[in-house]
Amino acid sequence: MARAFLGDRWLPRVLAVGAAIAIPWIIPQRYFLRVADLALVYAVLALGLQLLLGSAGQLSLGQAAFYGTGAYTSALLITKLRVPVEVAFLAGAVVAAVLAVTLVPITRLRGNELAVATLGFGVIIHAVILNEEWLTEGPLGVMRIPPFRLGPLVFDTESRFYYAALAVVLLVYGGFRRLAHSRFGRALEAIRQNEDAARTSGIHPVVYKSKVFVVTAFTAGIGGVLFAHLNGYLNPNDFTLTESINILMMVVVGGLQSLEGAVVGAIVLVFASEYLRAFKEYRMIIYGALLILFMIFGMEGLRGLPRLAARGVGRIFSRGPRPQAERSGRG
Amino acid sequence: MAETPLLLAQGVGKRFGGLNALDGVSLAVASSEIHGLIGPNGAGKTTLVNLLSGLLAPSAGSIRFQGEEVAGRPAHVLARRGIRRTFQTLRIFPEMTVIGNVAVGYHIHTRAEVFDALLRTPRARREEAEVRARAQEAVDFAGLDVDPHMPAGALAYGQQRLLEIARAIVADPRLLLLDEPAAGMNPSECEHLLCLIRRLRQRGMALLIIEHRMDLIMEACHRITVLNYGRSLAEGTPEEIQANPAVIEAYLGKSNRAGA
Repeated sequence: MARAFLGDRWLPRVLAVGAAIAIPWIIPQRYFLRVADLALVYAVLALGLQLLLGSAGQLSLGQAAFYGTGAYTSALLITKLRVPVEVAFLAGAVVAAVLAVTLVPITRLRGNELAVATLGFGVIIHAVILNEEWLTEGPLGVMRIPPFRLGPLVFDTESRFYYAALAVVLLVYGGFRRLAHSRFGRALEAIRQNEDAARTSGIHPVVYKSKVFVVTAFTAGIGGVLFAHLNGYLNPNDFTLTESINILMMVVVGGLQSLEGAVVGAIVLVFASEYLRAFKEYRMIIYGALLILFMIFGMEGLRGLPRLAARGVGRIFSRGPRPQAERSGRG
Repeated sequence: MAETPLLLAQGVGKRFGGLNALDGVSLAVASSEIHGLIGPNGAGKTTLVNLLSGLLAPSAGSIRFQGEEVAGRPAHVLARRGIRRTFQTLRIFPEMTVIGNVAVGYHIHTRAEVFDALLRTPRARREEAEVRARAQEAVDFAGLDVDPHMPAGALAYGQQRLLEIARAIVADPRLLLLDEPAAGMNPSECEHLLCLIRRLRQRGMALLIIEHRMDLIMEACHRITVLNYGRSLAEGTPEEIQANPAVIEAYLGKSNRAGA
């Protein structure tokens, strides 16, 4: 049972979770933990996009729309209508998911067309957040968002929030792993790897693309709610196209089709952008260069680094013209 | 023909822009018949299979399957009705395992959805066990003797062709469309394929086979339809087709002169 849940190669995962739990004790600095909190929020967002892009092969350039919807829904319910934090948490995710249902017509689109359509969607949602002051407070933003809580547990410090966010990341990760190994995940994979073959096998791509959009939006909504509580303040400019691209970069840098990669990508990019603040102007250049490099070295991102390194070392020792063992490297 | 055929296409046409890929083609496939579809390159065979499997919608004509009009119905609907196919240019799911590929073909017989997967409901477990068993059975039936957990992309070419067949038959379709199943196969694999085609018919399927290897077509098929330039040229038993002057002129004659 435990093995079924953890799957093969469970040891690295157990060690990673153990390390994640220990971190607030090892490095108790508030600033560091705040960045770690943010990294976990982005890990949720990156996991959501990984399901959409990595499994189903659908590119969304509008993740910030769902992310922002979750954040604003929960924050406004709490600050304006005094809705309990726990209820607002669910509501944020559900409203983001419902919003995704309106995208069902565009899931008929393929590839680039779909990406551009989601881009337009993101722009619309940002415009609504920015301009509909009666609803969203407009450019002023939403202030005084209370900390996240679950019954008597209040996650009001950096390390407390850290554990709440870590629990959410683990839940989403575990859930997505189950999805990936289910009938649903198989259908998504089939659509990504060959849509015609999936169709002639009885799979209706529009249905599955719609469903995966909804699951992704729900997840992004959760990420948004967490962000609202972490930050305590929401501004429309937290949810622009740049944000959507940011999430996309985490997935690509971490490695497509890898849930672990999405988490690692989020952690690496959040810490990089925080600790590279000194080089603010160069940050985007470094990002861009990273992205290009990862595209050149295949779609495996950071996940592929050990293999790339091994190949490089092998090349040095063999001195042959080209290594032949490219395929065998995959466990 | 007294009995209603399983598949009856009448006056089927398909235009791509100004080009008539198919024009007034008719075809009848009886239940548990092995039907050949031949013709020179560019005759419109694959286009016809794309219409019959729902990947393309016809511009004209009627396609009746089990007595019901299905022209223009999408591919996933026809797959559910019992029309399955393989592709001339292989379309496996290369990153999935062998068994995973075949499991996709069984999709329509299972129901588990997102919540079943998240909660690992009894239904999801029961279905997964059923899917694996059925997929393995189809793999065995197709004679694909490989590790079921290896990635499909690592299979040899001929094995990938058998994998496509396994995926297409796992849900026990009524009609199986094979688009050049023997392409790239060596003589012993061809022999195996012929045997498999006959066993599939015994299992209760009708087959429509596009193939360039005349020996295989003449050996396997009960009836043959010949297409030329997007039109039906002839229809009949292998003997009739081989004796038909129009066919010899358009197809066999030409290849006889050019080839062997």
